[in-house]
Amino acid sequence: MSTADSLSASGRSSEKLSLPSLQSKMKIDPEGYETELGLVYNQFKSALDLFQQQAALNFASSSGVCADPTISKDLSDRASFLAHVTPFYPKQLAEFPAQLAEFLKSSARTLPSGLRCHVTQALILLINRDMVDISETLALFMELQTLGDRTLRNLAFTHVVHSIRKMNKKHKNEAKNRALQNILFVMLQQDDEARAKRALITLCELHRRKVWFDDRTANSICMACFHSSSRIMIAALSFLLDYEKIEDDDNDDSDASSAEDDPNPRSAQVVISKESIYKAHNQGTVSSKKKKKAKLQRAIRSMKRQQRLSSENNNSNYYSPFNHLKDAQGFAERLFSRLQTCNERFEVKMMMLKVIARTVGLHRLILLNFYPFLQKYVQPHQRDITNLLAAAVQACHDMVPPDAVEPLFKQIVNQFVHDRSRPEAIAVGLNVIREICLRIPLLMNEDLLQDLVLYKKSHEKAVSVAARSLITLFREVCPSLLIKKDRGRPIDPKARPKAYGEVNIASSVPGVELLEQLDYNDEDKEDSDDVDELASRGSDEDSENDEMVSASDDGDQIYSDDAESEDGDDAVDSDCGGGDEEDEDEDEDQEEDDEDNNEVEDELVNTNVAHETNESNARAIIIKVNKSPSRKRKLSDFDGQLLAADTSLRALKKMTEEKLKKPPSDSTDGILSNEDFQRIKELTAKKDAKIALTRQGFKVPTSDDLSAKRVDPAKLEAHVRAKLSKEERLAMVRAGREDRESYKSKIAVKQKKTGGASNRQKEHKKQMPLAAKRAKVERSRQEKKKKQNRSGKQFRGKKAWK
Amino acid sequence: MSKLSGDTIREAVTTIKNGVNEKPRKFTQTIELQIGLKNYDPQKDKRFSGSVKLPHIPRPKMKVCMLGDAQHVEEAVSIGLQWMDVEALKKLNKNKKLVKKLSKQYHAFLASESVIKQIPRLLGPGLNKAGKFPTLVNHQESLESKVNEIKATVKFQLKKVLCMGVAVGNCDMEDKQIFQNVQMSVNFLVSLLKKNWQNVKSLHLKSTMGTPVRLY
Repeated sequence: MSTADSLSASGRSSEKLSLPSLQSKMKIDPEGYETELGLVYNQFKSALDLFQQQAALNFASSSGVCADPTISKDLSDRASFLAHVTPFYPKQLAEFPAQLAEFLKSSARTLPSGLRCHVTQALILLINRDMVDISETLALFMELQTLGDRTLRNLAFTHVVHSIRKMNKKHKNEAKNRALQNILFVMLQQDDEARAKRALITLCELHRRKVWFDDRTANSICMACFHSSSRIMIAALSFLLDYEKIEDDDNDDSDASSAEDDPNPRSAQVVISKESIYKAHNQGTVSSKKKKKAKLQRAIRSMKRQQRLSSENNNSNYYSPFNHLKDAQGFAERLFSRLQTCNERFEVKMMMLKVIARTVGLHRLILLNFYPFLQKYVQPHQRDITNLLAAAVQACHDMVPPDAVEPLFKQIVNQFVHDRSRPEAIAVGLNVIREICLRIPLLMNEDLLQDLVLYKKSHEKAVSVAARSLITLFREVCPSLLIKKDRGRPIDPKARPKAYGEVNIASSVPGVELLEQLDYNDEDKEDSDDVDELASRGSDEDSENDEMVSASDDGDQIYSDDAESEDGDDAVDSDCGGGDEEDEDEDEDQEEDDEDNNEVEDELVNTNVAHETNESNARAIIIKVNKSPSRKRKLSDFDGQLLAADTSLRALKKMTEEKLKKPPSDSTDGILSNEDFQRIKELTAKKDAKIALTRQGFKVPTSDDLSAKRVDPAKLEAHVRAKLSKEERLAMVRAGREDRESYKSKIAVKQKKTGGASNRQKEHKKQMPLAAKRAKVERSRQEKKKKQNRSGKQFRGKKAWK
Repeated sequence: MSKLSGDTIREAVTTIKNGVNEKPRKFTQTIELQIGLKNYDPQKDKRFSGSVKLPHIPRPKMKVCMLGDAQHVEEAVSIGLQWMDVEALKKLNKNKKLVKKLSKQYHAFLASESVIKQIPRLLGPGLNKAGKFPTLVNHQESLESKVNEIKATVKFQLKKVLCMGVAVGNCDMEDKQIFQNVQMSVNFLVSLLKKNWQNVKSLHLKSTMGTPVRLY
């Protein structure tokens, strides 16, 4: 070996010097150096041969020592040199890339790591220069990653990711992408753990960078959850769960409360009527203004929250691979059966659980066995219980039959919310109950709710807040389950959760009735002062009326009766409550609502007068109703009229509804334009703002929103204060002491005071003329007298003294 | 042009009617509204879906099945509606193929209150997958009106492609009825879109065997 070394020494050293310079010369003048190129190429080939022989020898001799370092150095130099000049000699070096790839493929395992890296770099160079196609070498590069050489692995990995990214930068070549994906997908399916892992990591990286985030990639990543190796499964699960992480919501809240000059609150303020803003800033006493301002802020905040929620739907969440699952039900079922049979660590089981729950919630799957399975974990002392409960909440949606979730629900109630359990457990339990009831309100019954609500008096803040939030929810969802005191003044006292399987089908464009009302008001200017009232209160009722009636086109008689009895309370009251007026006295709130109803009706009637053409009978009634001078009449005197004109009122109502049902205006053929939709949007925003101002800013989200949203486990333990350790407590105590001086008696502090006598002391000492002294005495006496007089006024009743 | 005008719809309806009258077929042709969207990426944007009840029934021959308790079954028999009771459902035995077959047989399902709760247990997820989970009927409302309501309901759902088609009427209906249905469905569809009319590329109206007429 030494002889060979000395033989080649002189030539090699001179060449070694010249290789970089030769390279630059070749780049300038490719034709002039063809002979040199041939020489180097031959040297490369011979070195390759030599190296392969040696490698075989070494391998055979089982010494395991890598080949001669000089030869490998030689080889790597020439390889990189040739790779650099290949673009200039496409003919001469036509098969060089193939040779290089072949070499790597055949003997990558036995090469020394330095040489391996250099040869790989040379190959990457060739690929970057477009001399080799990536689809041919992708498998090779994936193979290289599994060799257990870290630098090489990083090199190959970054190369694969970069080249695929570069390929997709300008436009996406679907066929080519598909070919590459297939290579990776096949690797991912293989049983060999190392390969599958590299394939998974590559796919995940490309998905994360939004290069490949199509259905195929998403599905193959999801399918990796069923890989026989548990490590692959864990990697896939954690990737999937990464998408479910919840970003910090705190920053949003803080800017909502602090920044008033942001453009966002401005836009929110626009929809809140100018009147209320003016009132909040200019009308009333200081404290009442403060209250109104706070209310305004609250409304703005709640609207911002809603906006954020709606914008969240199409954000990062959307890229989650779960959305692209082809067979979500099959996926969830398979994963669940794996979860049931596997004996992994608890953390892994938790991950599987979360993934299943998320899939069930997002796609609204029915996986009835899942709930009893969760049930066995539901204990307050269970590890990671909040995460588990968050998963349980996510798995609940409105397509699940309530009786399937009921045992789980009962278990949560029994285990968490009882008087002996710790306050943290009660708080978490109540929060979970609230979240589940938000999704499946049918689970709750009256007794249970009233029991739970009693915790609002708890001295623990977390518990009382949780109980109150439960009240707020049920005020919206189903106030009749609460006791009267807790109901507050709900917007809709008859709200009831939808029965299982019940669907509301829109019978017209949502929000179109607002537009109609606007039209009516435009026509009747005298009613314009009540625009807001109409828009806020009236629209609710009338839209319902509208829906109810138009939903009944075919079997109309029954339905329209229904509509009247449900929405127009006055009709019912006049029927049944004519005799018993004490009934109405009891129900103050309802009466108010009825009044509103009547008002709205009156206005509608007013507006209709203009349109009224044919029905003379109904017209007579309108006039009659209009004659009554005050709008705010009590229901009692309205009753008399109603009793008399019950049937005719029905006719009137029907007529107004018919009016409302008509397409907005005939001039536009009833087809809404962009401007109309814009106006609808504005009006609904205004209406929402009104509602947000009247109530505490809670709106029950739709089931679609809920299924897309993730449940934050941290929210479930809101306000629960973690118990501090002794060190933390001591640290807090020390921090409180820092800016306090050491303890001293009060007098000592006073005596230490510097800066001379106070004004009062000086006043005592000052020599004054007699007249001034007398005047002062007089003044003070008068003041005292006044004070006495005043104090006498404040006291009522007999005085014990004097 | 920012929106559709009513006259074009009327014209389209009359041309379609003429086409139908020229070459009568042996069945009642359905009139379909075909929609092409633009500026919408189904990969990225949210895929919308919504259903609306049209003023008139577009497909009177739609097959509806009642999965009912004894009382509803009786009602169903009296109005000649297809029905199945719990026993019949139990016979399917959660067999996926049978459930799929059932869901393919009908366009829509109704279920009474006591039955609908058992459906996930009895049939598994099959009906959900087909998007035909039954609608609730209770004993207060009449079955017939509910059936009509279901028949009058059309669903707009965007899949992976940027086009959709819905049945909005049939050739036996009067021109005015067709017009009302088209108007309602167009309005509703446009309200579902994020940028309303700016997302609409084309609207076509066609009868089953006829040529499409472009509305927009």
